[in-house]
Amino acid sequence: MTQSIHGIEGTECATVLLVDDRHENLVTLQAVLERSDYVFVLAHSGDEALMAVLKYDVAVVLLDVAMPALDGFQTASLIRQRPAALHIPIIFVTGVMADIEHVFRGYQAGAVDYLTKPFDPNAVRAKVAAFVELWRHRRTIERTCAALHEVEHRERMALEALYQVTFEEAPIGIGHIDLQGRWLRVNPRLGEILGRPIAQLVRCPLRDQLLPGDGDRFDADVRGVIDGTRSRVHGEYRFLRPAGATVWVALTLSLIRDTEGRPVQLALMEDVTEEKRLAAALAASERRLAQLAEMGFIGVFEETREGRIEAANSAFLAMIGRSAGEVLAGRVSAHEHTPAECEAAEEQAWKALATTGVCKTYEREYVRKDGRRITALVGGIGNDTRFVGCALDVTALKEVARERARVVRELEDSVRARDDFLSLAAHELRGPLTPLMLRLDGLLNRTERNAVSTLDVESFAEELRAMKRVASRVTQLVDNLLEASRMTVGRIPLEIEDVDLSTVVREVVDRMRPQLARAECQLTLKASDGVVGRWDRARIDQIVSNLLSNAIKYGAHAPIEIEVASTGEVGSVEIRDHGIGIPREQQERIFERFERAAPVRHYGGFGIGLWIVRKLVEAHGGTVQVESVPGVGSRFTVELPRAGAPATVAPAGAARS
Amino acid sequence: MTPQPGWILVVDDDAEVLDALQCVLEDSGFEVRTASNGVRALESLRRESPGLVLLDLMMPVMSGAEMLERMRGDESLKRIPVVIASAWPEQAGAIRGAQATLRKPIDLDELIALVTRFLRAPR
Repeated sequence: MTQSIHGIEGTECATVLLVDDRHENLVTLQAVLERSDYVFVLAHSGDEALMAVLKYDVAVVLLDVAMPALDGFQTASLIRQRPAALHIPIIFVTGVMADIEHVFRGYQAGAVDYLTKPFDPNAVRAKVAAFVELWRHRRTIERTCAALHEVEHRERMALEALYQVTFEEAPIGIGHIDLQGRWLRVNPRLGEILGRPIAQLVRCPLRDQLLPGDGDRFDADVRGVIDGTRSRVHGEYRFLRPAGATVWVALTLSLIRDTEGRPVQLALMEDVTEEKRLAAALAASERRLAQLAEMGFIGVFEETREGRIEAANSAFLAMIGRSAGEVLAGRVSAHEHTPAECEAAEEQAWKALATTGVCKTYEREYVRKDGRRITALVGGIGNDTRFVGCALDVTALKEVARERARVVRELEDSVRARDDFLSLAAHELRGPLTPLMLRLDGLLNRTERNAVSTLDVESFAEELRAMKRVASRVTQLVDNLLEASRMTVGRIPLEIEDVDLSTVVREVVDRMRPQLARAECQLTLKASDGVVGRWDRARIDQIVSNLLSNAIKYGAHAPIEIEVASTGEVGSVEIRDHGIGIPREQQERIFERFERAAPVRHYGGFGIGLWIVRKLVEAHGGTVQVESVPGVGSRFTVELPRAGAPATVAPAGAARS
Repeated sequence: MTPQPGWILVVDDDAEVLDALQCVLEDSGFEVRTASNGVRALESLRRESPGLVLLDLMMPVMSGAEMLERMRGDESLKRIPVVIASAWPEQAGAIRGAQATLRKPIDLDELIALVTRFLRAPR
C-alpha cells in the first residue's frame, strides 16, 4: 500500500482509496483524478484496502472488481462489516457490465456506484468529486458536532471541579450515607467535626460515632427519612470524638438519588457545641439568679416612678405582707408602705437614680399591710422611671442592737449602783464613828489633864454606854453589809423553830425605844398573842428591825403603828409610818439591792435594808408589800406562812407586791 | 473653865452625834444648843443668834445645804459663821457660804481650835 498526500492549506484533503491488483491501473486512475485537495491511498489487494479503511478516514473508495484472492465484492462486504466504514461510499470499477448490474442491487442506494472500463475521465472525476463533496459535508457536520461536544464537556468538567471544591472546602460538614447507615463519602469539615480522618469514617456506620444516649432518638429520625414519611429531619445530637470529648452537632438528613436513581442519604453537619455551652451557661446563670431572688432573705422589687410595685420576689412580699397576686393585679402601691418620715429619703433615692442610675444603700422603714413597721436596708439600680431594688429586713438586727444597748445600760447602771454603794458604805461607817471618836477624845483629854476624877461614876458609865451604843450601830451596819453579800451568793440558811411573832416584835420595839424617843415617834403596838409559826427567830427579828428602822428614819416626829395578826395559815405584821412616803413609780424599786427612793442629800443608808427584808421574807415563803402616798406615809405588810417555807424555796425574784 | 462668849448651834439628824458634840463642847466650856434638822435650826436661829453654827449636811426634812442657802439669803442670819461637819468632804467642799469644814469623824482638838477661833473673833 502506498500513499501520497498533497494538500493546500485551509482545505482539508479528502482521502481517496484506490484499489486494484495492477499498479499501472492505480497510477492511471490517480493521474486522472489528481487534485490538490485529494490525498490518495493506493491498495493492491482487498486486505490492503481493509487496512486502509481502518487506518484512514476515507472519503471514497474506487474498488476494482476483478482481483485475485479477495475480489471487489468480497472486499466491499468486508468493509461494510466495519461499523466505522459502514457509510464509506464505494465505486466499483469493472469491465463486465452484467456482473455489476446483478451485484449492485444488493447494496444500499447512494452509498455505492460503479464505473465501467474504459472509463471517461470526466465522468470518473465527476463521480469521485460528488462523493468527496458528500464526505466534506459529513465532515463539516461531524466537526461542528465535535466542537459542540467539546464545549459541553469542558463546561461539565469545570462545573464538576467546582462541585468538588465546594464539597472539599465547604465550612459545613457534608457526607453521603447509604441506606444501611454507612458513610459513603465525607468532606474534610465533617471529618474535622467528628474528630476523625476521612478514611476512618468511610464505610463506617454513623451510629458508631453517636453518643449512646442519643442513639434511639437518632434511629427514630433516620427511619422517617428512609421510609419517606419525612422529607428531611433536623436534630441536635451528641457525637463522641476519639479522645473522648463530646461534640454537639446540628444534623440535617435528607434522601437524594444518584444519577442511576439509587437512594442515598445526604447529611449536613454543623458543630454547635459552643452555642450549646453558651446557652447552657446562660440558662444556668438565669436559674441561679432566679434562685437567688427566691432565696428568702433578700427582697427584690421593681417599682415605677408613680409608686407601683410591678414585680417582687417572695422575700419582699413577706417583708411588706402582700401576695404575688396583689402585685400581678397592680394593686400594690409603694406609697402605702412608706411611712411619712421616709418619703424624703425615698425621693432622694429617685433623684440619685435619675442622675447616676444607682441608688446607694440606705436605711428606711416599711409599713406592712398589717400595720407593723419593719426596718430595711434598701439599694438598687434604675432610672427616672423605674427602680429595681434589693431590700434586706434588718428589724431583728435592730432589735438585737437595741436589746444590747439596753443590757449595756443595765450593766452600767448596776456598776454605778455598786460604786455608789461602796462610796455610801464608806461614808455611812464614818457617821457613827463621829460620836465614838468625840467621846473617846473627850475622855482622853480628861485623862491627860488628870481630870477623870472630876467625872462621877454615873457620868462615866453613861459615856461608856453611849460609846457601846455607837459601836453596836457600827457592828449592825457591818453585819448588814456581810448579810447582803452572803444573800447575793446563795440560799439563806434558816434555823427553824416555833416562833411567836408578837414576842419578837415586842423585843424589837423595846430594843429600839431610845431611837423612837430621839426621833419623837409615838409608837402604838397592837399584837394578839399566839401568832406562832415555823420560822427563824433571828431572821424575823431582822425583818422587823429593818422595817421599824426605816419607819423611824423616814417618819420621824410622827406616830408609828405596828399590828401583828394571824389570818388562818398566815402570820402578818404591818408597820405604818406617817413620813415622807414613796412615789408610786419607785415602790417596786425599793426592794432591789442598792436602791433607795429617798434623796441622798437628806438620808444616808446603804439602800439594802428593804432588799434584805425581801430576801428573808421570801426565804420563809412569805411576801412583803408596800402601800404608800408621798407626804402621807407608808405601810409595809409582811405575810409569813405559819407552816414555814415550802420544801423548795423559789429563787429570789421580784417582790410579790 | 472660863465661859466662852456666845453660844453654838449644833445641827445633826443623828441623836448620838448631837449628844456627843454637846457633851464635849460643854466640857470645853461652850454653851451648846441642838437641832435635829434644818427647819428646827432656822426656827432656833430666828429666836436668838449664836456665835457659830456647826452644821451636818445629810438630814431629812431640810438638808444642811438648803439651810445654809436660806441663811445666806436672810439679812439677819447671813453674818453668822457656819462650819460644816460632814462625812462627805467632797460634798462639803462644793457648798458655798461656809467658813470652814470639819470631816467626820471629827477630831476633838481640831473642833475646839476651830470653835475657839470663831467665838473669840470680834463681831
